[in-house]
Amino acid sequence: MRKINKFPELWFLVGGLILLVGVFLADHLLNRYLVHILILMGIYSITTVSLNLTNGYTGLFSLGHAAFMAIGAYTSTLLAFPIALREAYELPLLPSFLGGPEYSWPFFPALVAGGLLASIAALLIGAPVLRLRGHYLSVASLGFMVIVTTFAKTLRGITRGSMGINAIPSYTNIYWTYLWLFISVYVVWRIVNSRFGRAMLAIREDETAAQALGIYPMKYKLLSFAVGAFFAGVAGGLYAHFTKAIRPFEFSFFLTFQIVTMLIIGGMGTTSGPIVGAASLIALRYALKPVEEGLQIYGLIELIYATLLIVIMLWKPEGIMGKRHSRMS
Amino acid sequence: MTYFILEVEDLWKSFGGLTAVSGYQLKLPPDSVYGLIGPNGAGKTTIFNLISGIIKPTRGKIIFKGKDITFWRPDQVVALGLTRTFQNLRLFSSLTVEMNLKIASHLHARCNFWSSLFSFPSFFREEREIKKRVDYILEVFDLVPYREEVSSNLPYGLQRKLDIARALMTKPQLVLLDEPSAGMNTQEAEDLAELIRRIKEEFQLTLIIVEHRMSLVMGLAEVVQVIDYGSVIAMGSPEEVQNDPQVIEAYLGTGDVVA
Ligand SMILES: Nc1ncnc2c1ncn2[C@@H]1O[C@H](COP(=O)(O)OP(=O)(O)OP(=O)(O)O)[C@@H](O)[C@H]1O
Ligand SMILES: [Mg+2]
Repeated sequence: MRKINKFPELWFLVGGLILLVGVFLADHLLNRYLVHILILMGIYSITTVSLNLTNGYTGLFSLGHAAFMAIGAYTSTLLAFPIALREAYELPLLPSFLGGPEYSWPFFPALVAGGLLASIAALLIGAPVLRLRGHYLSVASLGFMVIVTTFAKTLRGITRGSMGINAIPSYTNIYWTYLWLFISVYVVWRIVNSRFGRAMLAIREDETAAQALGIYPMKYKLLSFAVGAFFAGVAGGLYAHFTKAIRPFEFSFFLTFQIVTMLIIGGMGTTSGPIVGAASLIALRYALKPVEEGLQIYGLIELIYATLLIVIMLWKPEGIMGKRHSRMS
Repeated sequence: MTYFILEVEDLWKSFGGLTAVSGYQLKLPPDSVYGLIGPNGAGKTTIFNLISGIIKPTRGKIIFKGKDITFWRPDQVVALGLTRTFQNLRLFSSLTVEMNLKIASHLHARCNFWSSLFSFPSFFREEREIKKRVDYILEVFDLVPYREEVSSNLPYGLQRKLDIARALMTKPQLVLLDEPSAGMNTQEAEDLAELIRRIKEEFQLTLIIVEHRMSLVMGLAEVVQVIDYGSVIAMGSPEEVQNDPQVIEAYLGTGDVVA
C-alpha cells in the first residue's frame, strides 16, 4: 500500500491504460445488452463521483444534483441536435452567437457547454443556498431541483415541455462514457489531495475550526458545488445522448433518490465508493428485471433500493467501501 | 509611545438580554504572556470569540498589529497572524493527526487550482514544504508516533496538544489558548506548561491563556486579568491578583480555588 502511495500519479496513468484496454475489449467481446449496462453504470458513476465531492468530501448534503444533470442534458441536446430535425420536433434553431441556424455543435463541446452551464447555475444557486447548513441546505437544494424541472416543463418553446425531446442522436458510447468517468475520478482525486480538497474536508469536519485556521468556507463550498455540477451536467448530456429521449420528470425525485442511495451504499467520502455503489445498484436493477417482469410486481426494484438503503444506514452507515475508525488500543 | 500587538477598547457583547462582555479592555505588549481568569460564565470564551472574529461585538474596537480587525472574518484575522484554540476542542475528528496539521497549512499554500489539478512541479514543491513543516511541528509536540492516527482516537491530553500544534501551523504571532489544560491530569498539565514555555520561545509567540487551573496560569502569565460579568475586575502580576479582595470575592462559592 505504501509503495502505491509513493507514485499515485503513475498508477493513475496505468489505471487509465488498463481502463482503455478493458473498455476496448468490452466493446468488442460483449454483446450489446451488456455494453448497454456498462454505459449506464459509467454514466451513473460520473454522477455519484461528482456528488461525492459535495456530499461526501465537503459535507454539504445536496439533493439538487439531478437538476444539474437536467441542465447538462437539455443544454447539450439543444446544442447538438441535428438541424434537419429541429423543425420537425419544434426545436429552436441556434442563435447566431451559438453558431447560427445552419449549425449544430459536435458532441464533445456540447457536453462541456452543458457542464459549464450547470456550474454557472451551481454558483448562482450556491451563493444563497450554501449559507444554509445541514437539513436546511438539503431541503433548499431539493427546492432547486423542483424549480429546474418546472422550468423544463413550462419553457415549451425550448424544451417541448413535458412531452420531452425525442430522436436525440445516440452519440454516447462506451468510450465517451468511460473517458468522462476517468476525467471525473481524476479531477476529484486531484482536488481531494490538494489544499483545495483539504479545505473541503475541514469544512465538513468543523466549519468554525476551518475558518479559525484561515479557510474561507464559502469559497470552497462554491468550488466543490461548481465542480460537482460540471460533471453532473456532463453526465446529464451523456445520458440524453444515450437514452435518445429526455423528459423533465426523469430528472426529478426518483433520480435524486437513486444517486443519493448509490453514493450512501457505496460509501460517502471514499474514492471507490461512488463507483461501487452505482455499478452494484445498476447490476442489481438488471439482475432483478426478469424477476420483476416474471412476477409482475412492478416497483420491486425501487422497493429493494429503499430497503437496501435502510439496511446499510442501520448496519454499515459508512457504506460498502467506507471504513469504520477503529479505536486505538 | 509603546507598541501594543493587540488593543481592545471598550468591548461589549450581548446575546439577547444577556450581556456576556461589558466594556472589556486590553493593551497587550508583544512577546508577553497574559492570563485571563474568572469564574464560569464570566465571558472569557466570548472575549476570545470576539477577538478571533468568530462573533461580532455589539460595541467596541479591536486593533491587531495596527489594523482595525473588529469586523474582519476569522480567516482574515488568522491571515494577519492571530489564531486561537478552542475550549471544547474542535479537531477535524475523523481525520488523521497529519491531515489536521496539513489542513492548517492552508494560509501559506499558494499553489493555484490548475497547477494542483495537473500536478505541476510547483504543486509537489509546495506539498514537500508543507510536509516539512508538519514533520517539524510533530517533532516539537512529540506527536511523531501518532502521525497516522485518527485524531479522535488520541488520548484526550494529546488531542489538546494537537489543537495547539494545529494552530501553530498557521504561523501566528498571537495565539489565544482557551483552557489548554482542561481535562488533563496534574502531570500532563505540568508538561503542557513546559511545552507552552518552549513554543513561546521557539515560535516567538505572544500568548493569552484562559485557564481554570491556577498553578498553570500563575506559572506562565506575566500579567493576569480577572474577568467577572464580562469586565475586568482586577489586573496585575499573579501575586497581586491572588491577594486582591475583589478577586477572592468573585471566586467565593464558585468552587474554583485561587491558589
Ligand atoms: N453564542 C451564545 N449565545 C448565547 N449566550 C452565550 C453564547 N456564548 C456565550 N453565551 C453566554 O455568555 C456568558 C459567557 O460565556 P463564556 O463562554 O464566555 O464564559 P467563560 O468565561 O468562557 O466560561 P467557562 O469558564 O465556563 O468557559 C455565559 O452566560 C454564556 O451562557
Ligand atoms: Mg470558556
